[in-house]
Amino acid sequence: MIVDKAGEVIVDILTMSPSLAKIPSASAILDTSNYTFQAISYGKDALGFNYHAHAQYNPTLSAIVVKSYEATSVSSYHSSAIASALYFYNLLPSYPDPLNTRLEPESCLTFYSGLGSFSGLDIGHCANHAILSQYSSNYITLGCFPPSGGVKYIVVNPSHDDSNFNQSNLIYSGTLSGNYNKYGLMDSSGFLTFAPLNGSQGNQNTALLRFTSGVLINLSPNFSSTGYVDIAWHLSGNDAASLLLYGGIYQLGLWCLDIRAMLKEGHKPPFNFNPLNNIRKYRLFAKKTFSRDLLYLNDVASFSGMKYLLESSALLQYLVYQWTIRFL
Amino acid sequence: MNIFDYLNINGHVTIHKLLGDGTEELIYDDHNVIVSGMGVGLASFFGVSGSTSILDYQIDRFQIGVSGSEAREISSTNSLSGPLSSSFEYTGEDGELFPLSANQIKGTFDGNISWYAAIPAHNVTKIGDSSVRYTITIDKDSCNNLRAATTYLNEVGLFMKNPLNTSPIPSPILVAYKYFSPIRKTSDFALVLRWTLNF
Repeated sequence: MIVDKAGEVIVDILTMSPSLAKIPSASAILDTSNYTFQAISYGKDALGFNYHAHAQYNPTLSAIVVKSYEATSVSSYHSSAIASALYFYNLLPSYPDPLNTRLEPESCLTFYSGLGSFSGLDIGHCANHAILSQYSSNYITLGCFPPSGGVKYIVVNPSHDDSNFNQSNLIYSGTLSGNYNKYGLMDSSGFLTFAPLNGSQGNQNTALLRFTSGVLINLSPNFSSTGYVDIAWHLSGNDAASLLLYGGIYQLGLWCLDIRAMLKEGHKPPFNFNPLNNIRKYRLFAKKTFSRDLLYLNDVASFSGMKYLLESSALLQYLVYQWTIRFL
Repeated sequence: MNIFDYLNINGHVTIHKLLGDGTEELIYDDHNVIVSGMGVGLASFFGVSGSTSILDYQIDRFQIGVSGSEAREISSTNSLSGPLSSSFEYTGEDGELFPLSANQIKGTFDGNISWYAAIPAHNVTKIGDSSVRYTITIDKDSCNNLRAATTYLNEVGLFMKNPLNTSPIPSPILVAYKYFSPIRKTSDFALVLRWTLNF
């Protein structure tokens, strides 16, 4: 769904004063990169920010912890399992509304009330707490992306007690390390940046699966007649597995820069992306809401869908997403 | 669905006759048609495949013509039927319009020179967060010297400046079109077109 904020972006383009071109210190405002697509984000239901791995915290374990509600023999975890276990929780995100300015309008604050309470960022989608020093001790609960250096995860059965880990409850464990953080592509607010390329370069890089500089505009050769703008990006197996542990992917967001907000704060273009200190403000252009987890994987016999993601080096190395915006 | 369906992009045109004594008479009031050129321009913008300056994606000019029809009020229209074809037709001897010449994208690139009149930036007004109004004033001395005494103005179009970044001659593209009841323009009055696009 293209949201109403997209109309505001277009009107900003049409009404920005041409006289700025004559002012050296302001002419960069007229550069198209200040108005084009600049970020992707992943979202889920608001309640989900307090379930899944968001509900567990054990500083001693220093690991992402999830309770599996599935058969323990399969060593599995997927977000629908928790919904079937908790009758009041249906996993569904808010219905898409053209007036939305963020993916999830309800509060997405993770608040952990046990063992030294704390809370994280409320962005409306999955944030990347791992890169913020103030969350170094509890990012494992706040989520939703693993640090580049790796973090342990454990899947436990429903008997698990945060305050008293018992090895007998352990079903499966391993380590996740995130590509987004390895390549510095995502800021703490969970905005996955676009590669600073033009359309034809994006097409070439997509063909070669070169996603290490960010999301690509993948223009097809017949783009001028179709008016389709394809956006492609990479989700590594480990980043996918991490999102799965924190509740899956039920929403995607496509964002432009909010140049007016940045100018108001005194920032001047170029608004370079810096994952650790990102001055960029974003404006939602489009969102896509799903009623089923994009990372849903079924188990087959003794073969775990979860392991398919987690053992990505052997099985699933990455997912490539492509989002098409039609202009004709 | 495309972006037009989601955003319900639409437009509205009013045409006023401005008489010598300052009175303004509404002579036309209707919706317009956003044509596919708007999609081409926006696709080029968001596809990062054209110009890198937003000025090339702004609507900075219009054409007015003499042989329009209701049949052209469809999204696939990419040009006026009979646009004024010279600087003189736009301004005559003393007209205040500012004529511009350029190529044009008409489905494909058209290397012939077409004539336009500029919409000054101060006549582009943001009204609300998602609407923009273009005010086009055809003064009493402009558009009076048409190719034949029996011709009447009856179509108008807005153009995006140069979205595909052609050089050295820009190639505007039609983004909105309107056919209206024929008007015989004379030096007795000016015409004021107020064209609002809602995104």
